[in-house]
Amino acid sequence: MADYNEIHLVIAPDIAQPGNWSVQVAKGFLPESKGRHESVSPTFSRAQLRRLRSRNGWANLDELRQIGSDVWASILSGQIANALQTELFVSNAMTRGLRIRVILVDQDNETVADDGVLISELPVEALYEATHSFLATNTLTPVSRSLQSGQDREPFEVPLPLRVLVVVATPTDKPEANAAQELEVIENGLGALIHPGGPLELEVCQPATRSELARRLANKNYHILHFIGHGGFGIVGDDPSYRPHVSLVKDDGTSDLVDAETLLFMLSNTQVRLLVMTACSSAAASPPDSLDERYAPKAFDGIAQRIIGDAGGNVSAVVAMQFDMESEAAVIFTRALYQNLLHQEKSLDEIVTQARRDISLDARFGAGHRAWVTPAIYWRCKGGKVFNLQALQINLDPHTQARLTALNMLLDKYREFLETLTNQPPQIRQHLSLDINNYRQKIAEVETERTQLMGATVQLRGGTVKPGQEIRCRIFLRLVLPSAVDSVELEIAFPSDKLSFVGEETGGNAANAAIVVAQRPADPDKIRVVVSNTSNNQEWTPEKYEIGILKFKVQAGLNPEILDLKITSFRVTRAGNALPIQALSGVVFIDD
Amino acid sequence: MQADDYREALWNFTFDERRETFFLNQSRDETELYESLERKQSSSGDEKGLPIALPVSKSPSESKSQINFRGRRERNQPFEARASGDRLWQALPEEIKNFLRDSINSPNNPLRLKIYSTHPAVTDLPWEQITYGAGSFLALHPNVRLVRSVPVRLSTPPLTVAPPLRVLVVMTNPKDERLLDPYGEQQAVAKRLFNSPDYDLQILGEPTLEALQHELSQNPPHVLHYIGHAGIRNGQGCIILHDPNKMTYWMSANQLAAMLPTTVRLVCLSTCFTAENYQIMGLSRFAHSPARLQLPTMIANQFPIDGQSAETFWDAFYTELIIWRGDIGEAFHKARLATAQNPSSADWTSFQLVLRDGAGKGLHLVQTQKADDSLRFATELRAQMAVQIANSLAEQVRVLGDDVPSEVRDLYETETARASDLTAAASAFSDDEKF
Repeated sequence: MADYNEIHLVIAPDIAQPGNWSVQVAKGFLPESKGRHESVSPTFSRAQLRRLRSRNGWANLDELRQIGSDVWASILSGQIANALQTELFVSNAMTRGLRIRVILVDQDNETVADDGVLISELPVEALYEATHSFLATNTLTPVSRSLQSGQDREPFEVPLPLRVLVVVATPTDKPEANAAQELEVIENGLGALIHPGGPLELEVCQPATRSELARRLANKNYHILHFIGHGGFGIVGDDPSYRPHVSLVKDDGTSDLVDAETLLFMLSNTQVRLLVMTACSSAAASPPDSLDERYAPKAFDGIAQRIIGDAGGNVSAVVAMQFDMESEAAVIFTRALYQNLLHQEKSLDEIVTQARRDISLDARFGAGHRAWVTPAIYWRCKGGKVFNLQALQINLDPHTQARLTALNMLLDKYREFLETLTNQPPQIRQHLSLDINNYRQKIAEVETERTQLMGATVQLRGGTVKPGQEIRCRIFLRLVLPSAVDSVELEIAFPSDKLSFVGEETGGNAANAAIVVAQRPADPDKIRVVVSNTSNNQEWTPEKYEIGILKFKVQAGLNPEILDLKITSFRVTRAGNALPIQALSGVVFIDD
Repeated sequence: MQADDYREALWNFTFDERRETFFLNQSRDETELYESLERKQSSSGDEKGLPIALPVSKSPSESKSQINFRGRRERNQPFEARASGDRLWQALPEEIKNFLRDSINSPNNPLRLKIYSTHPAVTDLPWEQITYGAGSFLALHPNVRLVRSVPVRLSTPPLTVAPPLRVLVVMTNPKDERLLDPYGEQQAVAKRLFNSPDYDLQILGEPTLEALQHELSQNPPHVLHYIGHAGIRNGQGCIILHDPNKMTYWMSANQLAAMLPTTVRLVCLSTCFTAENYQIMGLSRFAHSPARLQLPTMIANQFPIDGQSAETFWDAFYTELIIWRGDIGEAFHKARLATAQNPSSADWTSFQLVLRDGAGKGLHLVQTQKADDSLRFATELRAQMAVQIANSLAEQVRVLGDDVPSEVRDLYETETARASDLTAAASAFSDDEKF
C-alpha cells in the first residue's frame, strides 16, 4: 500500500464570470497550496464527452491524451496548476503518493457554453499532463470524487465472508440487455473467490423487483450492493420533476424507477457500505444525441452524491460508471475490485486505480481506451477504507441470520435516536436524560440478545462515563462448548483524540493469565492486546468469562456521544489452532 | 388565534405518469393525508383526486424557462402577479372553486389553506398570487390564511418561551459571490430586532459551517434568520456560508438539519436585495426540503424584492409575532397584509410561509416564568424530540410502503404512541396568565 499525501480541488460555477469555473485548493499537504483560487474557462467540450460516451473508435491514444489534456486545462491553470505540480513533485521526492480528490459543486442553473459541459459531467478521471501521463491509472496518484462532507465514516467491521448482493435489472421497456450475460461477467470476474467457504459470498436478487430487494436486505446482512442496469434522469413515480434514478423491474417486467431518496431508505439500517453501479454492458448504448443526453451521464452521479451525501446514511463509498462499460472491461474491473477489496491494506481509490490500470494494460484495451476512464469513485470513509475484514467465518442458520439482521437494524435505529438526542446542546440535553437512558437501555438489551444468538464470542463491553474520567472496558469470552483457551489476541481501534489508553488488568476469571497491551506511536488509534495462558490449561465449561480489563481515560470537555471500540482483528487459539468464534465490538457512552 | 380556530384544507398535488396528468386531492389535515397515503400504499393506488391542468411543463428544458417566465430574476409587478394568479385560479377544478367561494363567504373561522406537493414543479408555482377570480388575491382575503405545507405525521408541540426571543441572524457575503451591502441588508431585516426588549438579537457575520454550529450550540436560538444568496443543486435548494478562505460554501438543508437545536422553531430565508440573488428559488426549494429532514417551519422569498418591502415585512412580522404570542401563521399573515399596503408593488407575494410542524405554532409566548416552567420546558422538549423520532420513522414507512421491514413498522408504532403520550403531557400545562 502506498502512503499518500492528499490534495482537494473544489470546482464550482464562477458566479462573477458566468461560464467560467471557480477552482480552489481546499486542502493540500503543503500549507501554501491551501486557498489558492483561479477562475478557469473550461476547454473540455460536449463533443469530447460524446466521444467518450461512444463505444466506437477506441483505442485511440492520441485522442484520449487530447481529451485528458483538455480536462486538465479545464480545471488546472495558473496558481492551481502550480500547486498541483508542486504537490506531485514534493510527494514524489518524499516517496509518497498524492491522492487527488475532486469535489464537484455543480449548480442546476450554471451557465454552460453551447458546446460546454456541466461541472458534474467532467470526466476528471481522464486528467492527463505530458510529464505525469494519465494520473488516474497510476496508483501513486489516484483520482477520486468527493463531496463537501469530510471523510467521517469509520471502516465497517465485517466477519468474512463479505456478502455481495447483485441486482441485474433488465426491464423489457429499456434497451435490450442479457441478464445471464451480465451475471456471467460478475461470476467470471470473481472466479475462485466465490467458492463455498470462500471470502466472498455472492447472491443474486431475483427477480430484480423492489419488494424482493427490500425482502433480501431485511433478512440478511449484505455489505455490498452491486447494481447492474439502467440509470436515467427523468420522471420517477408520481413526481413530474426530473430526478436521477435506477430502474428495477415491476412484476410485469417493465421498469420500476427508484430514485435516490427511496434507495437511501432501502439501504438505511442495513450493513451495505459500498454501492457499485454499472450500466448493462450487453445493452445498446443510448444514442449520443438523444433528448436526455445531458442527463443520462448525471444519473449515477446524482444517485451517488445523494447516497453518500446523506448525513444519516450508512453507505460510505460508491463506485459508479459514468459511461456504459464493455463486457470484457467489466470482467477485468470486477475481478480487480473484489480481489483487492480483500486486501485490508488497500484503500478504495487505490483499488479502483489498480482496476483502471489492469484494463489499460490489457491487450484488448490499452492506455488509449476510454474503458479505464469509465469508473468514478465517491467516498467518505476514513482513509478510503470501507471495510475491516475479520478473518474467521461462522455459518449461522437462516433463522438466526434473519434475527441478527433485524437486531442490527434495531441497533442502528436506537443509535440514530440516541444521536438525535445527544446532538442537542447541553442546555437542552439535560432535560432529555430519561430518554437518553431509555435508548441506552434498549441498545444494551439488543446487544444482549445479539450476543446470545451469535454463539461463541469474544466481546468488548464499554459503559457510560463522564468526560475527564476513566472507564474500565471489559473483555469477555463466551464459550458454547467446553474448551481450554491458550490465548486471545485482539486488535482494537478507538478514537485516540477522545480516549487515551491508560492501562490493563487481567480479568476476574483469568487470574493466572498474562495480559500485554502494545500501542505503536505511529498508530495511536489502535492497541494490540494479548491475553496468554487464558484458561490456565483448564477446560472451561460453556460460560461467559471476563478475561481482561482495558482502562481508557476520556478527554475532558467532550460532549455526549457514542464512541466505538472496534475489534478490528482477533484470534482465539487452543494448541495453536484458531477456535471458531465471532467478535463483538463495544461502545462507550459519554455522558454529561 | 389558536390552530383549532381555523377550518383547515390541505391540497396535495400528485402526478399520474401514465396519464401525464396532475391530480388535486383535498384533505382536512395532515392526519387525513397520511391515512390516505397509507391506504394508497396498500391498495391499487387509484385514489387520484381531481384532474387539474397546472401551468407547469414536464420536460427538463422547459422547466427552466418556466421559472424565468415567472420573473425570478426581477421583481414582480402587480399586473403580472394578478395574471399569474388568475391563471392558477382558472386551472382549479370547479368543485374546488366552489369550495373556496363558500369558505371565504362563510361567517365561520378563517380557512387555512395548505398547499403541498413533493414536486418542485408544483411548489415552484407562485401560489401566493392565486386569485379567486377578477384579480382579487385569495391570500389577502381576511377569511383566508394561505400557506405552504410539508406535512408531518404528528404535529410538533410548541415551545413555551417568556421573551426575549432569541434570534440569530446569519449574514453571508463571500468574496466570490455578487457582493452585498451588509449594513443595508441587516438594517432592513433586523430593524425591529435591534432595540426591542422582546428580542435578544445575535448577528453572525461571514460564518463558516463550524462557526454556525458553535453559535447554535452555545446559545440555542428560537429563530434562525438567514440573509443572502441561494442556489439549486440536483433539484434541492442550498444556501451559502463561508469556507475557511472566505469563499462560497454551499450548504444543503440536510446539513442544517443535522445541527439545528430543537429550540429553533422558525427559520427565515431572506433574499438579499442589494445584489441580485444567484438563484432565488433555492430559498423556496430549501424551505420545501423533504419532511424527513425534520426542519422547522420556514419563511422564504421566491421573488426579488426591494429594501422597502423587506423592511416593511420583517418589521411587521417580528412585531406581530410578539402580539400573537408566537403564532407564526398569524404574524406572517399580518406582515403580508402590511407589505401589500403598497399598491405599486407585488413584493408581498414573494414571501411564502412553509409549515413544517403541522400546527404552524412552534412557539408559545408567555409573559413570565412560572414555578413549574422548568418541568414544562423539559416535558415540551421531550415531546418535541419524541415527535421528531416518530416522524422520521413515519417518513420511512411512507416512502417504502409495503417494503418496509416489519421491525421498523413495529418501532414506528411504539414511538408514535410514546410521542403522543408525551405531547399530551406537554399540553396539560395550563396558562392562567394574561399576556
